[in-house]
Amino acid sequence: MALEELEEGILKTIEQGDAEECKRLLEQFLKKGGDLLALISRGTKLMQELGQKFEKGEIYLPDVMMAAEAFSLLTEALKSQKGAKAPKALGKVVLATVQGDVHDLGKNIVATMLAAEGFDVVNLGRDVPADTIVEAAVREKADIVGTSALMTTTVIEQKKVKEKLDKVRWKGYYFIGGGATSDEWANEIGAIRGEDAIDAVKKAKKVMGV
Amino acid sequence: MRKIVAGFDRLDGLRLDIFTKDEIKEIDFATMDVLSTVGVYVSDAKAREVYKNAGCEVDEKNKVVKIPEYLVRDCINKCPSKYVLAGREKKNDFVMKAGAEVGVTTFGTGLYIHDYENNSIKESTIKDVADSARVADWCEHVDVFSLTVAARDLIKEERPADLYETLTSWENTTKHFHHIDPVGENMENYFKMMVAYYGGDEEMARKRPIISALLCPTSPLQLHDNACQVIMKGAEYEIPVNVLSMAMSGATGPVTLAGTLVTHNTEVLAGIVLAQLVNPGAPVMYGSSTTMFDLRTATAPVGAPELGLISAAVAKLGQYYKLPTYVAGV
Repeated sequence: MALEELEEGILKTIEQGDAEECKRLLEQFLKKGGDLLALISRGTKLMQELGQKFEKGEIYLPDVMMAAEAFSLLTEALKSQKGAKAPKALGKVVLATVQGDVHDLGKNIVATMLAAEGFDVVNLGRDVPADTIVEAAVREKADIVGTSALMTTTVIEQKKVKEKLDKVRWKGYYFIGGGATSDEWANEIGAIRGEDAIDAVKKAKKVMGV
Repeated sequence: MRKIVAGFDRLDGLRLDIFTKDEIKEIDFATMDVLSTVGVYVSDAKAREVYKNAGCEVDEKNKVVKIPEYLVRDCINKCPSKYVLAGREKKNDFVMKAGAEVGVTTFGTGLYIHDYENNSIKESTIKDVADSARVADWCEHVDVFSLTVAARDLIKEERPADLYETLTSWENTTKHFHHIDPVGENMENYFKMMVAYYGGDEEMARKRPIISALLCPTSPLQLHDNACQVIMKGAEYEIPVNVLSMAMSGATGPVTLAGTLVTHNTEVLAGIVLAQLVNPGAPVMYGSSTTMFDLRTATAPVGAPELGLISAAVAKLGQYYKLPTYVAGV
């Protein structure tokens, strides 16, 4: 297959969410010396299109998640290339479900959607202590820190994280989300609230000025 | 005991047969297979020890517990099929029993309340807990009171909201209080509060518990610290525990409803086994808020037609195991 054909093929496998075929074609593409950066740039555009289709209700969540999984092969390949300079991400995001809370489905959807839109996402997982989140925010020089809480008993942790972030004078945007959060709560602790994954992505793009 | 109708399959209530006998066995067999070969992730070390001492295969590194079929069946048989959820007044007792008699409870732990005097939506407070308990007390068809809203004012002040919610509920209704947001570490305190209510009579607190507790396994196939603690301490103090899974078919459960019923059943039975291992005969409920996941909007619609189907199926599973059952309704 010629390089152009491979490139089109890879984009098609991303759209179809076929990570296995994507991997196979990507190997050939790299062997032939294809321009990975250009491919990623086209892939990012495609992921944004898919995100918009999901928002309009034209495609389903697994379509987006499987596409994101295939697309991540491209960014992973780039990371393994020596001296390769990654295209500039829209911003760096540190995400975590707060301590005491193990409900991470929603947070993971947000992580996938943000990554699909071109954010660099560091996902710390669930039941994460406030100190770990703050450390990661500083270490990763995060533009955005987002915490999720589903339970009424764990939302208080979101406030603790914010206080600790303020204490280390972290300058960035603090996002919250999850079933037990409200706009009032966000205002009270000085956070931006994402109503759902789509809203979180929209607001993240807004604060980053894109 | 003499039967009223000999030779008949008597149900004493509503019949909605969603399975054939063979189909329900298929769900049951698949569940036993998952419990004994895949296992359940149990984060609490003490709970793992309880399972291990009873003969379960425990992988300490991955914190996975595999429960053999004989143990599951043995534990199910140890559960009482009938017990009393005591009200503060005896006339408000609710008999929780296996079968088809249906009772009604309030539910939710919502975050907002409609302030009808000012026609506005506001965050709920401990006063709203008190008010809703009074309304439930008045409604003759509400058998048991559960939190309709959370005491968010206390949560923000970092006070132990779960303890105040318990006390406030008791103060405002003489019906049984089913705590749907209990904190594992406070199970002992709920018991102590009950003992205090009974004037120091511990035996009465065990015999006539005016509180019961709900805990959720985390789907798929996980029991986390708080859930384990509520189960173990609940069993110890004979506070009835409701092991209630909220799997979401298509997200935290398989996309087929039957598949989700299997993982749901696995999670609930794993919790019930733990209760019986700690204290054989401890009162438990087979619970479900299991529903489907809307893959178009990425939300969990608790009220979707699938929820009704699953709840009807769970009622049949509860009857099959002869366990008092608690399902989400609309």
